Amino acid sequence: MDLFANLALGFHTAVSPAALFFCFLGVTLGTLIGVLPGIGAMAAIAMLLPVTYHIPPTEALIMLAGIYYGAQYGGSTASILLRLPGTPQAAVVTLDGYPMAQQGRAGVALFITTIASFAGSVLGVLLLAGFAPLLARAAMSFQAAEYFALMVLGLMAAALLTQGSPVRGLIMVAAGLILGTVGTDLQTGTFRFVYGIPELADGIGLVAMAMGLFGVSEVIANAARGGAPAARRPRWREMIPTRADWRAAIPAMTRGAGIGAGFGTLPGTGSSIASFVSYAVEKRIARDPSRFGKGAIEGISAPEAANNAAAQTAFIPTLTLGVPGDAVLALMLGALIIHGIIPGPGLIAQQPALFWGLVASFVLGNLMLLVLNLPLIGLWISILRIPYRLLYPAILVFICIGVFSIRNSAFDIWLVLIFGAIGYGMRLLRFEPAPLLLGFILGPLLEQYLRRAMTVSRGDPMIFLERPISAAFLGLAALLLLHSLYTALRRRG
Amino acid sequence: MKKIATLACAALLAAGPALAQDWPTRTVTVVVGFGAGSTPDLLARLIADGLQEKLGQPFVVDNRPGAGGNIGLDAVAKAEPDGYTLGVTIPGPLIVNPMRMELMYDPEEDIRPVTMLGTQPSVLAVNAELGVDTLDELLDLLRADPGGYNYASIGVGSISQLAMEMVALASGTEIEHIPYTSSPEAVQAVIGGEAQMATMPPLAVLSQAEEGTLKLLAQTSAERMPIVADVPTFAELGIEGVQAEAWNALVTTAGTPDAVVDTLYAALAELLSDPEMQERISGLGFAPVQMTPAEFEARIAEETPRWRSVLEAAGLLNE
Repeated sequence: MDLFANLALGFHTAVSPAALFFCFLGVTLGTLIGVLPGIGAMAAIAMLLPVTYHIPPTEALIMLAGIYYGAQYGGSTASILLRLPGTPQAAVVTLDGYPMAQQGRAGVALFITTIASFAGSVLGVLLLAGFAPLLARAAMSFQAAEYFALMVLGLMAAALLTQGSPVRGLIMVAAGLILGTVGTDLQTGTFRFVYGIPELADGIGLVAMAMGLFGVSEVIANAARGGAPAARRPRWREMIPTRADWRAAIPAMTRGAGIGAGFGTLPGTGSSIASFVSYAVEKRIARDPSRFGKGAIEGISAPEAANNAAAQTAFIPTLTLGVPGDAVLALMLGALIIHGIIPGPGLIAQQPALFWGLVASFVLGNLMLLVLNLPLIGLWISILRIPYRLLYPAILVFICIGVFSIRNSAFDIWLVLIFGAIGYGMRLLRFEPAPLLLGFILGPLLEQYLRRAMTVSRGDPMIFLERPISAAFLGLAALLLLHSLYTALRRRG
Repeated sequence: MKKIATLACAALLAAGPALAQDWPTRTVTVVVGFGAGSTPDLLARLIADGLQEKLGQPFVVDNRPGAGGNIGLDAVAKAEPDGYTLGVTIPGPLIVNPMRMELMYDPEEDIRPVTMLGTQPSVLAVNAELGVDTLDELLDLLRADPGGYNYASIGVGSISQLAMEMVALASGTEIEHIPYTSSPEAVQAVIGGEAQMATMPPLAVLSQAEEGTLKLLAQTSAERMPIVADVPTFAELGIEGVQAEAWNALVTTAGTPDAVVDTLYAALAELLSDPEMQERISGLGFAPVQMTPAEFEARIAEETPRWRSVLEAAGLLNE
């Protein structure tokens, strides 16, 4: 009963003309920003932060949140059409989305990712509305040992991301883990592989790496080939997914949304790991895993649903505990502080109109996004008709603006270009960038949680087995490993 | 002849270092070594808006996050000393970090301090279930089992670590350090039980204290700050030497002409004494302060040896 009273309060807040306007403004801006690779929600929200001084906190937060989850919708567009992910989550979507575009199925891919985004968001919002305090408490029981075990499980997923030889995949994962050690040792403050370059003190920029390995390398490869492989121009009718598409996509979306929602509630793991893991799950349970990487529809629906679900459930720790799930959400907490609202466990009780108004605005905002994004598909596809000699320079400019905008650093522009060259070299040697990226994301987290857990236990590794959740994750990882070995041996034998 | 003289004068004026009346004539950049939405950033934006109104030129905040604020201060150090590049910094890049590591800049040589904008104490918070209500009880607990407890901090070399090392030093015990990457994460660790205590900015612990999950035992400022007026200071509780404030300050490049700094400081002094501005600064968790450039330099000189001895005790001093 309470829930309905709360939602009534929320909708009462969210359907006021001002709230609707700011919600619409937010999701529209989010969509546009999401489509531009590299110019993430971070830059947009940072720019709009001063504006929020002048509007009431609820409307301000509704708008900023709209940008945040709206950007998740658009994020896959450039990945599918141009193999140009602006975020690591979007990098997962390139794996099957870009092949689909090359087969002339860009419209279908965009249609499905929009629906998947919506489905993931809906599940996320439901959990946020119904179980936020409960889930927050569950997330609290996750300590260093559990996080470590979860990251080990994620590492298992990395091996499954590879399309070709598993050995090459493992080499890439290892390379990613090694690159992840660059920066400041969190435990001691010592610099590792920084070579006196202050820009490396916080490690290699994740977005610069993702855009370089995927986007810039694609531009180089196409230039070397003298133009992209002619992507077949899709007809309007082909935009609508077939019944077979739906049959494959819907279960994948459901699983992806579930995985994403779970990861989202855990602050610090982020939606990128959720995307990678949900992709790996689809590949693992597929009857014919060889379809993946060649345009499997499950390969775009699951990760897309996962990252949107995670984007919504990430508000659970942010609003109920005051622990932001990622840097963008931290920025939103900053916006609350400007208005004198201190985020923390008392927020829902003290600011019911703000919390429930925000939840209600998520419902409305996602509906707006659905209505906004479906008609835009036709427009995005027409990007493919732009001649490559015009498109590619423009893409490079956008990439450079995008990485620069993250921390106003010219160093990152060099970084993205260097990773572009490395990515092209890897492509020539048939090494895949996705496992490297996941290794790079997981490496620092693995290390941090391992060392933290060992500090807590004063060096006793049994902590990982004594804590039930951690033990369960590690057991699952071991089973996965054994199963992979078993299938590999049987295939050979 | 007269015309030439006038022209020469004009040329001299244009070429020479900016005089008080002709600064600022264009956009002034305020570099912040932290990301948008961080407390130094929010404060910098408040101040930039105010200066813009007072001095009639745009003041633009430029976020250069990274390396604990060092990248931002480095940009100020390397800028032209003409008053068009200002910086908002915390004690880390200005005092603590140069003693911890090799840097690309030397704050004493390259930075000209202007004034402190606001300051906040750190508050020693413990998990409410630890069974201690006072600092004395906590210190007894720590002394009974040296090395048996953990404290959380927001990173190696941060004030939240160094303040805790001061506590350990003053009480003659050891406490195990677990670094996190942000104050919410560290606070969460204390509530979840991964660590038992932490010294944190008030804003990070107040709502948890209201909920009853954390207890606030002492604050690290010399005198009680209004935001945590009911929490005693370490000195009041008989522990000397635990003094650590996470202030934010405005600085500029060394060699900036006195006239420019005078104009800037006059505007800042006016701004910082405006009650409305003070209220907004307090809203960010800071106590507003008034400090002339000379007073601020004296404050830095006073704090430096104190940080040095803590760093040395914590084994973080770079020889």
